[in-house]
Amino acid sequence: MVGLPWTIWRLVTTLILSLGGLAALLAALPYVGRFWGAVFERARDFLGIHAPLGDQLFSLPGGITFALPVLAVPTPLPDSLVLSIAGIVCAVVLVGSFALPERFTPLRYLLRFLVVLQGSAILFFAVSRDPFPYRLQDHVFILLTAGLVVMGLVPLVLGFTLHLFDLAFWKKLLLTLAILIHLAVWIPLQAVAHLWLILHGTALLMPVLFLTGGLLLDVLVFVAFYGWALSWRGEQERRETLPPVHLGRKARRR
Amino acid sequence: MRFALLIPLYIIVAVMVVYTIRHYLFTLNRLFGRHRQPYVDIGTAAWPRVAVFVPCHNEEKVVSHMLDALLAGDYPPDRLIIVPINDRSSDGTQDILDDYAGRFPLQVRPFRRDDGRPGKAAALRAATAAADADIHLVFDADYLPGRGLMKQLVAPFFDPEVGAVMGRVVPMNVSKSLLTRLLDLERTGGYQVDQQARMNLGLIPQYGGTVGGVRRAALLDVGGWRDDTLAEDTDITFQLVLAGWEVVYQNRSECYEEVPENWSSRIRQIKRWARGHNQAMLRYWWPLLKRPAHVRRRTVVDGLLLLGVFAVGPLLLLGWMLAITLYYLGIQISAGLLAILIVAMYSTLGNFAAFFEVAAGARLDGSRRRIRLLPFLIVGFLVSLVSVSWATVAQMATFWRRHDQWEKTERHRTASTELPNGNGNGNGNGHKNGNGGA
Amino acid sequence: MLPVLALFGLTAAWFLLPMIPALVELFRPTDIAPLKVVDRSSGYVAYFARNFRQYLEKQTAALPREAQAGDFFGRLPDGTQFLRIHKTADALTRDAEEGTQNRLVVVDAPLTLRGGETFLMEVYARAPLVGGPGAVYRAVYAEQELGLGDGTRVLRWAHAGGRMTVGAHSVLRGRITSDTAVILGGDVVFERIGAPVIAVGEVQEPPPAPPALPKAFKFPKGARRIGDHVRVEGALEIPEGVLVTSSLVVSGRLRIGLGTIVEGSVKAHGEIELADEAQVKGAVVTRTRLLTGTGVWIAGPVIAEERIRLGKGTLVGGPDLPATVSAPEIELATGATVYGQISAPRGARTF
Repeated sequence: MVGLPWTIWRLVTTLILSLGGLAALLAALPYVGRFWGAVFERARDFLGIHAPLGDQLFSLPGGITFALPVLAVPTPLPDSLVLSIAGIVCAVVLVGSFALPERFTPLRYLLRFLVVLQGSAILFFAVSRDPFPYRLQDHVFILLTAGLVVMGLVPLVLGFTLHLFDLAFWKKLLLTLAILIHLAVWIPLQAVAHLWLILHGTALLMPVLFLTGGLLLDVLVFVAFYGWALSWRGEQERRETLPPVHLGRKARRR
Repeated sequence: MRFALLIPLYIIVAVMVVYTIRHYLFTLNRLFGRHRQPYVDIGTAAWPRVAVFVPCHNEEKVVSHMLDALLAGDYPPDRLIIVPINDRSSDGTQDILDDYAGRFPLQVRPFRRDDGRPGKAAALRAATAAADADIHLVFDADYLPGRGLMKQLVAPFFDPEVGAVMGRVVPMNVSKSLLTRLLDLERTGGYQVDQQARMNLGLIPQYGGTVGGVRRAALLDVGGWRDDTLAEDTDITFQLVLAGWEVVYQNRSECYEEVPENWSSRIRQIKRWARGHNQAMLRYWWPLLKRPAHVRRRTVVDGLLLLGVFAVGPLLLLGWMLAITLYYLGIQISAGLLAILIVAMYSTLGNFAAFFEVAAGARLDGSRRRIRLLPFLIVGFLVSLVSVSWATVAQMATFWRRHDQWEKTERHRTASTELPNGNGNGNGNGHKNGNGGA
Repeated sequence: MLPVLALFGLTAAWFLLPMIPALVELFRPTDIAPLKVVDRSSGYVAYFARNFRQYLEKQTAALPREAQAGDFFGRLPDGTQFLRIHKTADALTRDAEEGTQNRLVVVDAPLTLRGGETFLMEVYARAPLVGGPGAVYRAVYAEQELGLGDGTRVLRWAHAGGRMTVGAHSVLRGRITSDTAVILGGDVVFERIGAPVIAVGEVQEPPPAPPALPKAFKFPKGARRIGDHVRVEGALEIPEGVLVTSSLVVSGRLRIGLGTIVEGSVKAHGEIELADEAQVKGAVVTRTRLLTGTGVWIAGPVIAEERIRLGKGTLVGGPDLPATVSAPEIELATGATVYGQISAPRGARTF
C-alpha cells in the first residue's frame, strides 16, 4: 500500500470528533463528578470504610462547574513490623524473579523494577527524618484529577492518531465514546482499589501505586482500545472487497 | 535542590517531545506524503559488476541456503561474484564454502580469516579488496534473498550520488513467540514508516548492514569499513553522508530475516546495537553539527536525532529516577502541561507516537489484525529500555577499553525449518531501524 | 472479605475488558503469517503475458484430440469459454453481442481485423495479427507480429514475439512488451513498455563518435571531487561543445549545452535540461524534471521524480546497452527511441 488518500471529509470529521468529543466531555463533567461521587459512596459503604465523604468543586471557563469526591480518610503510616514484612516480601520477590524461566524475562524486569521502587519507599520510611509528604486523600484525589486529564486528552490524541485513518465515521464515534465511558467507570474503581490497598497496606504502598498503578494503567487502557480500533477494516479495503457491481446490491451488502 | 532536579527533568521532557514530534511527522508523511521510490522501476539496464559479501562465523546450518539463493538470482552471472567471508569459523562452514567454490569457480570466491579483530566490520574491511566490483552488497548468512533482489538493490547506484542503499528486512519467524510478534511490529514501524519517511523527506535513511550495499568508490572515499566499531552500518551511514554521498532506502526490496526468538538473544542483540550506535553518536555528532556545505539543516537535525536514538532509553530511566526523587521530596511538579508530559512520558515508556508509527506501518502492510497486540509492545519497550540503559552505563564505565566485544546473534533455524512461500525464503539476523530507542 | 474480592474482581475485569481483543489475538492468532515479500518476478515487465501463455498451453493441452486444432467453439477444461479461429474470422462475430466477444480467442492463421471489436477476454495469436481501428482488448498475446490500429485500447497487457506497431491515439494500460520492437504512433498513451527497442515513429541509432574531441570543461570554483564524481553546489550551466570527463552531481539546476559530451552520469536535485545533440554516457537522474532537445543521446538509465520530456530523436541506451526511462509522467517526441524499458505510472504520451 503506497499511502492513504486524504479527503476533506476526513479532515472535517477529525475536527468534529476531536473538538466535539472534548466539548461533550466538558459538558458531561458535572455528571461524571456525580457518578464518581456515587461510586465512592457505594464503595465506602460496601467496604465498611468509616470516613466522611465530601467533594471538591471545580470551575472551568464557560460556566462549567463540577465536583470530585473527597474521602477524608486518615493516612496509615508503616511501623517497623510493616517495614520488615515489606522488606522480606521484596527480597522474596527479587530472588523469585531470578528463578523465573527465561521466557518470563519481561516479568522478571517488571518485578525487579517494582522491588526497586518499593525498596525506595521502605528506605524512605526507615531513614527519612521528614514526614511523608502526601496524604491518602491527596493520593486518591490526584488519581481522579489525572484521570480526568487523560479523559480530556482522549478525543485530541485520537484526532491526531486515529481519525486520520479511513475508518467509518460511526466506528470512530463509537470508539471515542467507548474509551471515555470505560475510563469514566475505571478511574473511580481504580481510585477505590488504591484506597483500600493503602488503608490496609499503609502509606508504604503509595509510591508504587502512584507511579505504576495509576496513569500507566489508564494509558494502557487507551492503547488497548487504540490497537483494537486500528485492526478494523478501513473504508478503502471495504470498497475493494465488494463484489462487482453487476452482481447486484444484495451481493454487495453481504 | 528543587531546580537541580527540575531542570534536568524539563530537559528530558523536551527531548521526549522532540522525538514524539519526529515520529509523528514521519508517520504523517508516510501516510499522506509523496512516496519516493525513484529507482524501483529500473528493470532493464546494463548492470554493473557486483560483489556480494556474506560474513560467516559458524554458519554451517544456514550458509548453503544463502548461496543457493544468490546463485538462483536473476543478476547476470558474468557480472556477479559472491564472496562468503569465513571469519574464524570452527564448524563446517569452510568445507561448505570450498564445495561451492569448486562447483561455481567463476562466481563463488570465499575469503578466509583466521586471525585479526573479530566481528563483522573487521571481516568486511579485510575482504573489501577481494573484489574489485563497482557495487558491494552485504547479506548476513542466514538471509535468503529473492530472485530479483540483487537487481533491485543495485538499481539506485545508477544515481551517481548514491553511496549506500538499504532494503527492508521482514521477519519470517513471526509465529514463534510473543517476542517475535512484537519484533515484527517494531520492524514494521521502523521500515515501512520510519525509513521510508526519511527517504521521502530527503533525510538520512540508515544503511542497516544487511540487505543493502555500498558503492565501492564511496567506500574507498571514506577509508573503507571501520573495524573498531560494533555498528559498522551506522558508522558508514554517517561517514558517507558527511563525505557528500547519499544513502537511500528501498521499501520494496524486501528480504526475510530471522528475529531473535528468545529474550536473551534479543537482549544481547539490542545491547550490541546500543553500544555501536552510541559509538557512532560520539564520533559523528560534532562533525554533523559543524554542517558541511552539502548537508542541509534539516538533515543535520534528523541526523543528530538518529544518532541519539539509543540514548533515549537511559534518558527516560533518568527521568523516572528524577520523578521518583521529586515525589519523595514532596515537590509539586506543577499542574498543567508539564505534569501531563512528565507522566505521559514515563507512563508509556517512551511516547505514544511510537504506537502510532507501528500501527500505521502494519495497516500499510495490510496486516491490521496484529495491531491488536499493541499493548504488549510495552513489554518489549521495557526490556529494551533496561537493556539499552544497562549497555550504555556499562559502556560509559568501560570507556577506556579500546575495543568492544562483538557477539553474534544466535541462529534458530535448522535444516528442517519450513521457509515461507513466494520470493522468500529468508532468515536473518535481526536489524535495527533507527526507531526511537526500542 | 467477600466485598473486597468482589470490588477487586470487578476492577480487574473492567480493566481487562479492552484487553480482550489483544489477548484473543495473542492466544488465538488470526494474523501471524510473515508479510508476503513482494515477488520481484511480478516486476518483470512481461510477467502477466508469460503467465498467460503458460496457462493457455496447459489448458489447450488438456483439450480432447478433436479440439486440439482447427476452428473450435467451446470451453477450456477450467470452464473458460474459448474460441479458436483457424480458417475463417467469421466465427468471431458469431455469438458476439454488438461486436463484444466474451470468449478467450485463439487465432491460428494470419488475421486482419475490421476494427471496432471489444475483446473481454484475452486474445492469443499464433500467427501475425493486425487489429483494426478502435478495437478494445483486455489483453493480447501475439507469437509473431502484432499491429494495433488507430485508437486501440488495451486494458491489461499486450505482448508480441515479433514487432508490435501501435496506431495513433491509442491508449495502452498495463504492460506492453515485445521480444523485438514496439513502434508507437502519435498521441499514444501508455504506462509501461518493455522491448529491445521502443521508438516513436522511426528507430534511432546511437550517434557516431564526434570527429574531434571537444575541449575539456573546467569546473567552477567550489566544485569538489567526491570519490568518482564531482559535486557542484547550486545551479550549473555547462556551455556547448565541451567534454566533461567525470560524473557530476549538482545540488541545483543543471543545463548541458549543445553538443556537449559527459563521460559519466549526471544527477541534479533541480531540473535538468540537455540541449540538442548533447550526450551523456551514463545515467541521468533528477529529483524533478528532465527536458531534452533534439538528437540527444543518453546511455541510461534515465530517472526523474516528476517528469521527463524526450525531444525529437532523443535516444536512450543502444542495441547493446539496455536502459530504462522512469518517471511518473513522460512525454516522447517523434523519433525518440529507448532501448529497453519505459515506465510511467501516471502515464506516458507520444507527441
